[in-house]
Amino acid sequence: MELGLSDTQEMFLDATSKLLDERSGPGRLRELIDDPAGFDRTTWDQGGQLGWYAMFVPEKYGGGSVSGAAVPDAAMVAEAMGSRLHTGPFLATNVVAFALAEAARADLQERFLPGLADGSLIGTWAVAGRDGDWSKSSGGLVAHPDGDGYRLEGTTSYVHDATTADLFLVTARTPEGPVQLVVPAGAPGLTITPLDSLDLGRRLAEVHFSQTPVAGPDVVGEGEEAARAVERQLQVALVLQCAETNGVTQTALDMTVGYAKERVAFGRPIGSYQALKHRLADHLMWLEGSFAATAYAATSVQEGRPDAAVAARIAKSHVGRWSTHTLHDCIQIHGGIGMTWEYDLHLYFRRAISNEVLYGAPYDHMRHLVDLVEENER
Amino acid sequence: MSDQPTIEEFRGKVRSWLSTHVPLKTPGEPFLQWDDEGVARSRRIQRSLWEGGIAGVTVPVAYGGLGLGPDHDRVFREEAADYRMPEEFGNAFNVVLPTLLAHGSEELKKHFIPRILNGDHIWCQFLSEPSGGSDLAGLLTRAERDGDTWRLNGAKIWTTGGNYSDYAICLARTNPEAPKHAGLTMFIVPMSDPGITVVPLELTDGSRDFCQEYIDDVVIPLDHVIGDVNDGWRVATTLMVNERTAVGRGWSLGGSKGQSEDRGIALDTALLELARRNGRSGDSYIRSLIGESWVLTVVQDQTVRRVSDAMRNGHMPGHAAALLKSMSGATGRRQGEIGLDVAGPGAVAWPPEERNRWGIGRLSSHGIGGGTTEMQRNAIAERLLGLPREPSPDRELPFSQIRKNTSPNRK
Repeated sequence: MELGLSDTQEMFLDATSKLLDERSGPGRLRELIDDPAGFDRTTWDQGGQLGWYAMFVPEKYGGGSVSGAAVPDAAMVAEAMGSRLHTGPFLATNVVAFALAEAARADLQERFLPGLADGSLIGTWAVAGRDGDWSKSSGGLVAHPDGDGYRLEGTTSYVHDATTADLFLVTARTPEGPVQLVVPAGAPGLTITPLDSLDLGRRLAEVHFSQTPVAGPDVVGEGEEAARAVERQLQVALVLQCAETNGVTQTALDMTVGYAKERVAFGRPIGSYQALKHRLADHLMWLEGSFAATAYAATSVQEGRPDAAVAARIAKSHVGRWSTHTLHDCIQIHGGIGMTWEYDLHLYFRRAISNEVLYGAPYDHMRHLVDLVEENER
Repeated sequence: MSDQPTIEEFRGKVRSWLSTHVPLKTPGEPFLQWDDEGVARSRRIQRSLWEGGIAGVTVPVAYGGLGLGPDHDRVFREEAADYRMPEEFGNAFNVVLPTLLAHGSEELKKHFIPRILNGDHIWCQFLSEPSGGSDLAGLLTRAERDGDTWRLNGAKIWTTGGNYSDYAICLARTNPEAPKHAGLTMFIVPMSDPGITVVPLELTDGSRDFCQEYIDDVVIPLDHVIGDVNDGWRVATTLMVNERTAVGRGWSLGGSKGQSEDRGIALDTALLELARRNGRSGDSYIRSLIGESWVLTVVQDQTVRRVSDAMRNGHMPGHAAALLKSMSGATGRRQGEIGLDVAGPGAVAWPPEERNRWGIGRLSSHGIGGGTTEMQRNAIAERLLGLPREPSPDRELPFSQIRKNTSPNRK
């Protein structure tokens, strides 16, 4: 639940919620289960008209966000999407737009940002190897220097919406540290292997690169600069992911509280039994913690504060852990109906589980907090 | 209203008085100091605030206060952030004063409120009883009419600062033939009465901030009743809402500098240093635990800020304070487990010259003080989520006909 929104944010959220209510929801997700793209282009385009992909893009390229603070604005949209199980490359495209807006040279920005902002281009970030490491030390891909550019070799995994993406922001290793490159869909040597996904609305794939050439003008950043950019991209992705998860958890908890009030067993509503109501109370408590940690991280990442890396990981650690804990219990409290395919709860649980481990699992991030503190001591 | 100081005039007045009359906080000092020295100092400080004309910022002028609004109160708290505040008056200001304002007679307000503001009266709360703390409305202390007075008998427990208080706000049963909530009355009890016997209680960790009291034939004037006779539960509800709200804003009578401003996340490295001393800081499991401990601490801080702000702005009801209390219970328990895991055997035996808190931390990582976590969960479930109460026989029947709160006999 977002608190303290400005009037313009309220209007933006209202318009977003209205579109999502019309075009998304568990029923719509079920219709898209066998759809290779996993989302519909009409809704995607309507979202573009509302400015869903323009938030990280500077005004001169057709961008802008209602409050001027893109991360909290985008988090607000992500939360609304999570609560309706919306599908599509919202997070992926926004992270790429953020990366290009923040780091890339003017010619790269001119080529890609207007299209990303209005939704005519879909972007996605290819960074993690099969080991599921989203950090700057990720080792899935190697970039061999080649003239003024590079040649890419290797495999990245867990790439969002790879089959529908128009461009890939690729993070690869070189002997001099990480490098970030833009690779258009259909580039030579680029092949995609779609993966089966627990989240029935999520499209994830392995993306293979074999001697894929990247010309000098498509290099986004190199070395220390690229390492910092990767970290910032991860922070933005984590905040948007946490916000989406919070929407998922809120909806599932609302469903379960409603069910517990109406379902009568042993002569009274099951929600009157302390054995259940205490658990529901705990879930609300942890969810408030999730909202608090996500809102804090959104502001910190937006402003690039010194604690942004810590704040984003704290949010992910908390949200990831407790969202699935809550969703598990939502199904348990529903009893038999909760474990059926027809009942929608598993669709929410699938997204929460998926979000818990994509972009790093909670205990990975908790350990990384210790790494960060040790780095600071040096 | 026209003679009210502007915000900046008031800030100047507060700043200049505090800087010349009130001691600064010293690093590491306890928030409350319930001993002769701490209490005497707080009485002096409160007296000084009164003499400086800066006591009771939002209290109406008719009762000795300044009659100013929340903006002036915020300014006072900002200016007071670095100074030692008379926190032992916390019950008086946070709980008793707003309850008196809401339900007290004009005479009671005119008599008692200025004596809080001028540092004369420290107050405690006579609510919980040895027969039961969570089931407050089932209390057994009784007040009986005796001519033109009330006569009180019973026992109270978990009073903070009972041995240093001047007055107690005391909930007692006045009609045992009514259902339990409908036969209670809120009294003002002088702690100096010879019928009050105060016994300090020692907790598992050795701390001694709580007391237990025996009440034997304490005589109370008829008009020392807050609210109406047999309407004490309504008064107690006001009291508890005020208490929770104050807990939500940190309980302090002063404030921390720019409470709404953010100074960033600071991670306490005590656990990491402990792991290093034990040679376990490279262990992946231990590192996970240290990170988890930070997550718990920081998210709790962030949640306190979010929920407190929301309550202040009216986005959440006062009952939302139960979320904070409940979270501190839940995280406290896990912190206790983590501390023990990281400390290992060093938590249970240590050289006499060392101070070791990890085993004690596990020992006292319960969520009981100030209301059990279970009661907070009831409040969250029933008041915030709207779940129905568990049916119970004790709400409709006359109190005299229901089973009374009892504990198993202790040998």
